[in-house]
Amino acid sequence: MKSYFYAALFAGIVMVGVSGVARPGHAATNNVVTDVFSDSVTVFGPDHKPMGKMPASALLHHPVVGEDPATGLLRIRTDSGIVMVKPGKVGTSAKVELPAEGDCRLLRPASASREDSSTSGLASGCN
Amino acid sequence: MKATGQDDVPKLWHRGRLSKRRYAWYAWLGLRGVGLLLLFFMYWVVFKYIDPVGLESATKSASGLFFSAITEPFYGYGSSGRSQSHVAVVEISDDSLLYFGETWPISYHHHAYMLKQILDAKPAAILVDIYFNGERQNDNLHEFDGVLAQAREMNVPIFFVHGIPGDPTSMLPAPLTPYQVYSGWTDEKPGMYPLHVEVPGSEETAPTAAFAMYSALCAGKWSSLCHVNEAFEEPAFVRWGVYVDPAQKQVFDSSGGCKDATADGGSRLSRAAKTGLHALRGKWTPPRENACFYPVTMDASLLNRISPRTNRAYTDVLQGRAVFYGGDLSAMHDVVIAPAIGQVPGVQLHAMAFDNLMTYGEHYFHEAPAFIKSRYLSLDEAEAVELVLWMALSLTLIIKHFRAMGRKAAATTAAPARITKETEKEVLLQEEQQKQAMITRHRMLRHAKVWAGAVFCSICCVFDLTSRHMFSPVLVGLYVGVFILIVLMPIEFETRTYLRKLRQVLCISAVAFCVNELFFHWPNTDWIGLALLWFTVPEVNEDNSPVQSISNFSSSLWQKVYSRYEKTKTFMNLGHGK
Repeated sequence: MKSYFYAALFAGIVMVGVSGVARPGHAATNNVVTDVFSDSVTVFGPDHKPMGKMPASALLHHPVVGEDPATGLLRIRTDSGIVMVKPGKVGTSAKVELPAEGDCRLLRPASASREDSSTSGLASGCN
Repeated sequence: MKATGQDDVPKLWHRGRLSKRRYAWYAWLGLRGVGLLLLFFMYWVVFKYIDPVGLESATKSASGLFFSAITEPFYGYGSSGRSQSHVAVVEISDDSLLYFGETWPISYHHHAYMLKQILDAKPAAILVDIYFNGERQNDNLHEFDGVLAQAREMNVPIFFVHGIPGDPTSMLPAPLTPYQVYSGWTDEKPGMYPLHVEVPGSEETAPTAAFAMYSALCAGKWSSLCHVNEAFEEPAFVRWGVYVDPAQKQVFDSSGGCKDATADGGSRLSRAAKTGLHALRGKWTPPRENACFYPVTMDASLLNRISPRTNRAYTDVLQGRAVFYGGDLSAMHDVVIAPAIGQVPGVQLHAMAFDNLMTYGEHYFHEAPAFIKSRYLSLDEAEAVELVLWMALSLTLIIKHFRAMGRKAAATTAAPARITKETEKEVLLQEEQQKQAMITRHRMLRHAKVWAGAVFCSICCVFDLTSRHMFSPVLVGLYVGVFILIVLMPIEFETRTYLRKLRQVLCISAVAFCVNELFFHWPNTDWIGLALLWFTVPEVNEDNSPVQSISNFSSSLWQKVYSRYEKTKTFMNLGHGK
C-alpha cells in the first residue's frame, strides 16, 4: 500500500513538474518584475481597494507570486511583504494569465463617432 | 450632231455646277465633322480636367465605393496560403492606456518593453507605426537599444516610421536613424499607397513602410514566397478584406459579429450582393459587419498575458508574421477611410498594403502607368485608353449622324416618282431583300457575340480559378452570369428602350469589371469613368443635346451662307449679262 502511495506521489510530482516545464510562460514559474513604467504605483489591499502608493523601483526584480483570480491584480513579494498592483503597471519576465475574457468588437476606430460607441473597443473589451 | 452637242453643253455645265456644289457640301460636311470631333474632345477635356462641380470625381468616388463593396468579400478568397496568414497588427488603444494606467504618449521604455514582447514571439519583421521623433524629459531613444540589438541578433527586420519626404524635422534621431522608413506622402490620388517616394535633394527614391517590409522579407527569409523586381513601381491601390483571420479566435473569445475567412463562396456572394445593393444608394454607410480588421489584430495590453481559454500566450499568433505595431487612439487621429468599411487606424493601411503585395505579388492593383507626364499635362494609360475609345465612339456617332442627315436630305429633295404597280413591286422586293440581308447580318453578329462571350468567359474563369488555386462553383456561376449578360446584350449601338439600355449597361460593366479584375488591375474608378462616358454618348443624338444643337446651328449657318453666295452669284451673272 505504501509503495502505491509513493508511486502515486512520484507520478504526481513528475506530472506537475512536466506541466510546469511545458508552460514556461506561466506566472508561477520564476516570474519577476523586470520593468516599471512610472515613478510610483498604486498598491491594493486584500479587499481590492487602493492602499496608497509606493515607489515603483521597490518592485523591480521582486518575484510575482501569483495573481488575484477575480481582478487579475499581480501579487508581488516585496521587502515589506506581499503587495498587489495592476498588471499593466509593471513588466514581468514571464507572461501572466488573464482572469477572464469577455465579448469584444474588433473594430472601433479611435476618432470614429459611432452610435454604438458604448461597446468596448478593440481587444481591450476582453479585459 | 450639232443639236445634240448644243443640248449637251448646259447639261455638262449643269453637272459641273452640281459637282462643285457637292464638293462644297462635302467640304463643309468634313469641316463640321472635324468641328464636332473637336467638340467631343473638348467635352472629354472639360469632364476630365476641369471636372465641373466635381461631377466626374464624385461619380468615380461613388462608383468606386460600390465596387469596393462587392469586391471586398472576395479579397483573399482562395489565397489563404499567401493572403492574411503573413500579417498581424498590434494596437495601443485608449483601453490599453486605461489598462496601463497611463496617458498618451507613453514612455519609450514602455514601447521598448512591448516591442520586446513582440520580438520574443519570433515575428518575421516589425514595423513601428508610431513617430518617435525626439528625446523627452527623463526618457530617451536609447531605450530601444536592447530591442534593436535583439532584432539584429534574431535577424528580424525592424522599421520605424518617419514623416513626409522633404520635412527636415521628420528625420528620426539616433539610434533609430538607420531603421527609418517613410509613412507619409503628398500628391497621391485617394486610396493610393506609393511603394516609393522621391527624396528631396536626391535622385534616388526611398521605399515606404509596407514596401520596405515586403522587400526586406522577400530578400531574406521569405525568398521562396515572394520576390521584388522592377514591376513594383506604380503606387498600389489598396484592396481591403472584410473577413477576419481564423487565428483571431486565439486572441478573442468572440469575434464581435465579424465572420472569419473560412466563409465559403456562397456566403461571400450573398454578402457582396447585399452590400453592393445597399452601396448603390447615395447616402450609404457601411454595415457594422464590415467593421472588421482583415489582419489578425490584438491589443497591446495582451502582449504579456496568457489566455485562460487556450492557456497559451496571446503573442503566439504573432509568430512568423510581419507585425505592424501602431496606435488606435483618439489622441493620435491617425485614421484612414477604408472604402465600404469606414474609418480604420492608419496602421491597418500599412498592414493591408503589405497584405496586398503578398496576395497579388507583382500583379498588385496599381495606378495606371503614366502615358504623358510633363509639367503642364499628365495623362496615364487608363486615361489615354479612355480618350482613344471616346474619340472612336464619337467618330462612329458623327458618321451615323451624317448618314442620317444624308438620308433625310435625299428623301426631301428626291422628286416624287409616279407610283405604278411595277415600281411598287420593285420597291417591295428591294425592301424585302434589304430586310433579309439585315436579318442575316444580325444573325451572324448574334452568333459571333455568343461565341465571343463563351470564349471570353471560359478564359476569365480558368484564369481566375488557376490564380486562386481552387475550384469554386460560385465563381463558375458568376462567369456563367456574365455569359448570360453577354447573350442578352442588344447588339445595336444605340438602344431605344430603357430595358435594352440597362442590359447593355450591365453587360459592358460586367465585361469591363472582369477584364480589369483579372488583367489590368487598375482601380475600378478608372474604367468606370469610361463606362459612364459611353452611356452619355448616345444622348448626343437627342434633339436637345449640345452636340445636336451646335450641329443644327452650323447647318442653318451653312444654309444662310450658301443662299447668300447663290444670290451674289446670280446678281453677278445678271451684271455680266448686262
